[in-house]
Amino acid sequence: MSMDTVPAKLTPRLVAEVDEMVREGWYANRSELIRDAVREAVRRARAQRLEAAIKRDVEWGLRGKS
Amino acid sequence: MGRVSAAVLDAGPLIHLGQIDGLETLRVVRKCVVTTEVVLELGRGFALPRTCAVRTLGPAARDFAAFLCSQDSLGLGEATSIALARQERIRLFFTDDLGAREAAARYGLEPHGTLALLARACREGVVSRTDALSLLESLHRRSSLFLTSELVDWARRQILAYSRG
Repeated sequence: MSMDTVPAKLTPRLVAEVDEMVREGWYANRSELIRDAVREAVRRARAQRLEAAIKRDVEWGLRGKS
Repeated sequence: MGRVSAAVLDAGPLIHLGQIDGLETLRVVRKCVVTTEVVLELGRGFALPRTCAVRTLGPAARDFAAFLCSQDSLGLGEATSIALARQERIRLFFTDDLGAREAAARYGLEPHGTLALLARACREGVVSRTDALSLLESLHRRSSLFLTSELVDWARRQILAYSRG
């Protein structure tokens, strides 16, 4: 799978926590952890957008004009 | 106010309402239009409601659907439905797919999902309030439409509040 490199800055404290998780074996390396975190952020954002859309649906169904 | 005059549906709402024996909800739409691709996606065993008409895309709409598949990573059913809505100049499009909703809105359509159909059917008396609440519960428990308990509770309160209004 082709991947892009995305430069990102992290605070030293966050880097230390990332490295600790890698040392503990939760992830193979920093990149894998960051990929997982981004994936989770995207999933959560999608779920929030979908929930907002469904609420608009109910409003439209009960009170909409179109 | 009133029933919906015409709408395009992709497979999602048909599947989800079919799973809970709630296809009568679709009577709130006078004319439902689906693509041949959606019919194929539903499969032979699916009994399409009589209010649903099947339409084939013209060449321009077919090209647009192919563009949507590649540009927006939509499935064939969703992409052809958006293309059909534009071809037939039907503004309302029902889908439960977030990507399809967002793409449809970008192209000037008004996307809604299964709960919109249920709420409108309740408002218009196509299904009773009791049946609407029961169908909502079934969508949560028995269908493949993902809804959180919190969202279902919120929708239930909206239906009850509207009915009392």
